Order: sequence, then C-alpha cells, then structure tokens
Amino acid sequence: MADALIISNLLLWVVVIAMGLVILALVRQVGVLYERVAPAGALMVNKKVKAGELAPELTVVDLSGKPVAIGGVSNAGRSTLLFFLSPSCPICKTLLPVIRSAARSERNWVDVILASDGKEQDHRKFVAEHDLGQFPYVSSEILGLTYGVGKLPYAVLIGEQGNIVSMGIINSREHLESLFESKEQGVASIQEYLHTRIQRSEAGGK
Amino acid sequence: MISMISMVDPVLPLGSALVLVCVFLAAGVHKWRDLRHFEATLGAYELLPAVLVHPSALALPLAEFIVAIGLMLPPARFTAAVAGAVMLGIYTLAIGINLARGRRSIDCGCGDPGQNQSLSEWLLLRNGALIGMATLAATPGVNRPTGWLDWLVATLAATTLVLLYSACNQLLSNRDRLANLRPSHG
Repeated sequence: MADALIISNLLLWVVVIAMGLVILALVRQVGVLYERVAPAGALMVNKKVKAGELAPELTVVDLSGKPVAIGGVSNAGRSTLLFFLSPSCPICKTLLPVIRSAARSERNWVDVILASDGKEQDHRKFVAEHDLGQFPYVSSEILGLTYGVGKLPYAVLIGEQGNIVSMGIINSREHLESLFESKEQGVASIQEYLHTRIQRSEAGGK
Repeated sequence: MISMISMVDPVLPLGSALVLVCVFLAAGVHKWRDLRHFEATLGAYELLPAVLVHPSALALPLAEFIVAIGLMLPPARFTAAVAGAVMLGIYTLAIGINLARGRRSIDCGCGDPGQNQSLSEWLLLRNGALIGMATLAATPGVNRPTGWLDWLVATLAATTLVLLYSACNQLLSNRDRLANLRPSHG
C-alpha cells in the first residue's frame, strides 16, 4: 500500500512538472507573439507628423541659450537628426555611445540635436555627467508634442529639404542605422519596408 | 511562534533553499552578463548617490552569487537565507519607493536585459513570496531522519516552483509588451 502511494506521488510530481513546463512554454509563446506583432526596427507610432511631409518648423533655445532652428530648408544642405531622450531613461543612456559614433560617422551630412523636456537642472547634470557638450541640447515640451513623441528614446531624421525622412523608437544601434538606411532606400519606416517587401514577394510569387 | 517554526518539516526548508539557489543564481548571472545595462537600471532607481552606483552594480550580483552558494552548504544555510531575505527586502523597498514616487516606467532590472519589466505591485507580491521562502529556508525544521524520498520531493517541488516563477516573470514582461501594442501610445 505504501509502495502504491509513493508511486502515485512520484507520478503526480512528474505530471505537475510537465504542466509547469507547458505553462512556461505557453506564456513564452504569448510573449513572442506580442513581439512579432510589433516588428523589430525603429517602430513608428506617430500620428502627429508623417514621414515625407514637411517637418514642422520651430525655433527652440538650447541649454546654452543659443536659438536652434528645427525644420525648414537647410542652406548648408545638411540633414538633422532629432534625438529625443531623457535623463531618467536607462536605455537612452546605453545609446549615448551609439549616438556619438553615428554623429561622427555621418558628420558629412547630418547634424545631431538632442531633445528632451523637464527640469533644466536635471538636463545640465545629465549633459555634464555624460559629456554631451558637443551636441546642441534642447529642453522643450512643445518640440516633443509637435513631433508627436510618445515613447523614448525616439528619433526623427529631417532631410535637407526640410522634409521628414524617417522616424521611430530607437532601442539599439540597428534601429538608429535603420533611419539613415531609410534615407538611402527611400522608405519611411520599418512598417513601410516590410509592407513593400511583402508586396514584392507576393508579386514575385504570381 | 517558536513551536510553530519547530513544527516545520525539513522538506520545506530544503525545497525553499533550492528554489532560492536557482533564483539568486539566475539573477546574478543576468546582472553579470550585462553589467552596463544593470548599472544604468540601478541609476534609474535614483536611490543611490552617483558615486555609489558603479560599485553597487558590481557588488549586488556578487552578493547574489555568495547567497546562492551559501544556501547550498548546510552549515551556511541559515546565514545565507537571512542575507537573502535582507537583500530581497532592500530590493522590495527600492521598488516600493519608486512606485510611491509614481515612477512605474523604469526597468525593474529583475530578469534578462532583453526582458524589460516595468515596476508594478505584482513585483512586491512576488518578492514577498520569495522573502517568505527565505524565512522558511532559515528555519531548521523538525529534527527527524531524512532519506532519499525527502530529497527527491524537495527537488521536484523546487523544480515546479522555479518553473512557475519563470512563468510569472514572463507574464509580467508580457504585460508590458501588450501595453506597448495598444494604439493609445501613439
């Protein structure tokens, strides 16, 4: 009798662990599903401004008090990368080296402007701590609202004609590079790229 | 209270200790693998002065490894369990303070760096359960002879609990992913 109980107990354990594994696999699949629905890349979640349209023009003041003009045709024929970040966002901090190296490698055609909003003293501390003095740093709530920035870190690439080339949430080097890539490829966002690729493959299949 | 603690069957402290070994090892490994990210996360909690962030980011995963190893060695188990409970208490307090400040969107730094989890009350509940297990692991339990069956039961129970713990973490991170998909974020 005792033997039968031990065997039944062990069998139950096996079943319980198997069910634990199944539950874990299920929730992982759900997670992957959520991830797949949102394509990896600089995801565009913006309804205020559209890629291809003219970027809203406005002049804001950077931390050193200098006026910075955003949007409009660039006389020097240069593009602008507006990078929205915040001192309180850890991913933004890990992206700072990426911004620096991108600004260096693309310095022939693009100017980088860092943008944020909130308390000025926080930004000054942030700039000093991370040695960001080389970039114009703008603290303006209106700028973020105008460009419809919902999630950080977020970047908008404005072309030399004052048009919005591409924009999206930036979580990695690849995402930032996808913005530059989209200027070369002439697509506005990862969604558009995937969409045209699907259309192409469908057309190819027929 | 004393009599209640001494009533605990030795399987329970053993199982709890095994679960905590896995939890602390996993937490330590995740932090150690991406120290830079953990440092940024720790800084975002805004509880430590800036000069202490870097040394703490190194010390915490090391402390987690030590607790995990201590829990595996029977003579050190009591001390390790108490230290583990204290660490979990500090983490819980740090999360609680930031929840009270309304800073829910910062990464909790609990799981994989890729698995961003924002702060929520669920984490307090989860850590509460872990602290409960650490308390259980610190109790000596009834003095009765233990055999292979006890070890087996403790291991199997620990396996089940670790699986459930991973599933809970995954659910918490799924919650954030789902929230990111809602169009209201645009």
